[in-house]
Amino acid sequence: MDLEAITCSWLQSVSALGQVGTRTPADTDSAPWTCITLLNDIPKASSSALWAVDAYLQLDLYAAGDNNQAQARDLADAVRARLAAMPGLHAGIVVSAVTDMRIRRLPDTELVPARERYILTATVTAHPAA
Amino acid sequence: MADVFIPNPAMIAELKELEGIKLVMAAVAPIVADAVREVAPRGTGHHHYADSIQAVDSTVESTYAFSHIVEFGSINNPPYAPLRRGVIAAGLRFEDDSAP
Repeated sequence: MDLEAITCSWLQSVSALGQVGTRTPADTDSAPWTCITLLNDIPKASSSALWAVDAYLQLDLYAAGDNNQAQARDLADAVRARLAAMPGLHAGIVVSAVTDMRIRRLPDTELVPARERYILTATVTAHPAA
Repeated sequence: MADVFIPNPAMIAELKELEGIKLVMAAVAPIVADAVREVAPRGTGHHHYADSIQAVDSTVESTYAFSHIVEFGSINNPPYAPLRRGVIAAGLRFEDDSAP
């Protein structure tokens, strides 16, 4: 089960969240954007083999080109609220919980001036529906 | 009347100061450092990162100037997350208790 893709689709279904993907978009200036990366996909020790997994995700939430910090923070809050509503059935996968959602500010210094960015990490727990 | 349990918010910090805990963590830190070096990015511009990883007392540190980019990524780099992945690769459970 690809929880990176499932999470991406879940966030993309809300147009107000702007661009959401798994890599840097072609246009990074016109609107805020979100990049999702799966850091670890760990089978839960308490479940049957290859059944429930904990997917540890990092979401980078960037401001648009005008570099508005509040805009990036609002995006982080909106994405976290959307993730909190994620438990349920998603294309044959049951998301049972989204936990440990932490937001920290870490501007991206590879852009000049440094672009406002918040990093949201979360653990998505899921298993097949059948 | 039952006693009320009041969690100590400084419990983890206080535990880390106990000599016994320090000894255990000092023994584990080199193992985690090895695992971090194993999962560190290679074949990228950040090839000095792995050499910068060292176990210092009960912690694992990087002296590489761009280690924040290696760990959390940037517009040009994915988050390689060697510290977070390294803890798991060493067979431990990673819990993010850092302050936001």
